[in-house]
Amino acid sequence: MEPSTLSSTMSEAAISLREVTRRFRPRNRPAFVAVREVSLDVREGTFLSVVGPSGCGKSTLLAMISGLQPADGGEVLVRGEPVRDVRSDVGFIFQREALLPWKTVLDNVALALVFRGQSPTGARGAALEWIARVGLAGFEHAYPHQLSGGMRKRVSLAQTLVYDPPIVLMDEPFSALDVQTRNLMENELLGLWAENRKTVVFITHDLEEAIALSDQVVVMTASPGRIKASYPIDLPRPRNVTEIRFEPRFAELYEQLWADLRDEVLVSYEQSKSRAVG
Amino acid sequence: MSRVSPEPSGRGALSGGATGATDRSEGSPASELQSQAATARPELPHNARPAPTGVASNVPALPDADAEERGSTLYSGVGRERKLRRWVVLTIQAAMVTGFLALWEWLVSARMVDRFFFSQPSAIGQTLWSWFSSGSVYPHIGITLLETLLGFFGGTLLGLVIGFILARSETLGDIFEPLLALLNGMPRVVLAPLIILWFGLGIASKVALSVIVVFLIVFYAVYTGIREVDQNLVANARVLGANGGQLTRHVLLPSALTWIFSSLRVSVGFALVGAVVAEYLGSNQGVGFLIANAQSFFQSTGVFAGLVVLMLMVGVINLLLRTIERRFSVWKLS
Ligand SMILES: Nc1ncnc2c1ncn2[C@@H]1O[C@H](COP(=O)(O)OP(=O)(O)OP(=O)(O)O)[C@@H](O)[C@H]1O
Ligand SMILES: [Mg+2]
Repeated sequence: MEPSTLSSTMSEAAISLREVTRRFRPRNRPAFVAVREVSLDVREGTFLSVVGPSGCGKSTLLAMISGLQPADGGEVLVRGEPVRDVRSDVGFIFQREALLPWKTVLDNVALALVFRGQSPTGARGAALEWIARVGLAGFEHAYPHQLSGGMRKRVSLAQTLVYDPPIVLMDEPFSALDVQTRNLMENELLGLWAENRKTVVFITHDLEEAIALSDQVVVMTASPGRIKASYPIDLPRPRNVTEIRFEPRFAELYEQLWADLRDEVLVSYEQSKSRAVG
Repeated sequence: MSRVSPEPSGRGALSGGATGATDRSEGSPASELQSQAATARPELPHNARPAPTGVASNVPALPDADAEERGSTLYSGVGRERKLRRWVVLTIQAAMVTGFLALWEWLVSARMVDRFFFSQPSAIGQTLWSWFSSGSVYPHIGITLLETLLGFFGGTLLGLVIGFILARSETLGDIFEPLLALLNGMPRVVLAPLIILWFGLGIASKVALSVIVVFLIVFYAVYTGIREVDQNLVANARVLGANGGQLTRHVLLPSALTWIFSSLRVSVGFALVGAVVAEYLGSNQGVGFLIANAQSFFQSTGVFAGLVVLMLMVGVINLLLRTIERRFSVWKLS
């Protein structure tokens, strides 16, 4: 796959944000702009990562793409259609745990198919297959609390991939995992992605993770979040995330991106300090 | 995550009990992620609160007898050590009860305590023996149990339905919740005379009081359970494609049920309290009537014997509830 560029035409864009703004009006605090006039096109089949300091509006961005939260200004288009409600063709793996604690792994993974009216046996069959694919065979009848954090993330992955949404949003899916588990799962994710090249928007704090996985990395500014820069990642695929870090090109990209990100992290840090004092 | 449970907390059995306290302290993201794996307490994952540990002290017992077993994720000794400890506890308990009864018996025999007011363990035993051997007590127990069961199921059903409706509709919730809070703040026992007036001396008034008492507990459990359901779970279900009905069935109801379930002991205990109090105030059958009847003839022995029967009933009910809880709570056991 060739590296994607920002000059993608509209017809190719799986997701397209046009000057999207999102404000929060908390009850006891002044209104607050979380995302300001963000424009972004994500070409179909692209693995795009978004990095930015904590609180800059990354999760909010995904919530607007998925239709869980409305945009206050601008327009969000998914596959050419304006987003008005939660869409059934967009998968979303949440930053926080979202498995139903009263359902087994099998029932959790089958959930989306059951919601779509599939027969229970059909849904179970497909769910079993995906449980095996994410490496959880033998844990079908376990409950989420009986699994480790990494295993629960695998369940979330299966829960989303089982219904084959063409677009998948992932909000820091691996940030709570230890480094080894994380590298393992990053490689597995790349393997799964390579099979049918879904459009992925992946959020992370981790620049290395972003570069290793993506076709394109977008850097957001400190709050209110805007897009600061966008870099195509021209590293060859297939990649091994553990090894690709040693490539000279990787180091180059890292330096460029870090130069952009560092300033924003500093600004964000100052903001949070002054907020804590004020 | 620890949550303040909306259950009555050690206040008067029939006084303002079920408060809708929803004050909770959110764990930090990190501790939240770990809280499931490493809970020392038997906590319901996600949106559920810990099983009722502090059952209101004046609900007739229904003690948390298996607290020891449920805390088994903590180190509490290896097999033999634990068994030994259990025996020591049981022996001390038995010795204390025996000692207390013996002292009581002796104090009365030695005329240091008035037999008229305090009766005597041996006399109480005799009365109990005659009640059970003649079988005269069984209809009373049966009636009280029937009232308790009807009150429990009626109150639970009503609480479930109304709690669900008010939690789902913001307007209805805003209208009715404060009114229910008012009712909840009132000692329910003062309703008993009115209810007996309206429903008569028969079983209906007992069931009615029991229903009201249970309803308030279950209502608050469901109401908070649904209003406080983890929004993350709701969002996830919606993204996965759930429509309104599916959201209710797969997310909201189970969440509410875990709350109902964790207030099960309290509701059953209160159902019994409601029934017995109404019997005590006006009826011609039931264990509450036995006690009231003995009291009206100044027979302290009969009052004590009635209390013992109540205690036995509570013990049996508690045993049953433990079995049920164990069977239906697979996913919360670790
Ligand atoms: N429901 C809300 N009400 C008020 N403010 C909100 C709400 N949700 C988010 N915010 C604010 O919007 C900003 C962006 O939040 P968001 O969750 O998108 O950040 P983020 O970039 O995902 O951060 P992190 O990397 O820490 O997850 C934050 O400052 C947050 O305080
Ligand atoms: Mg976030």
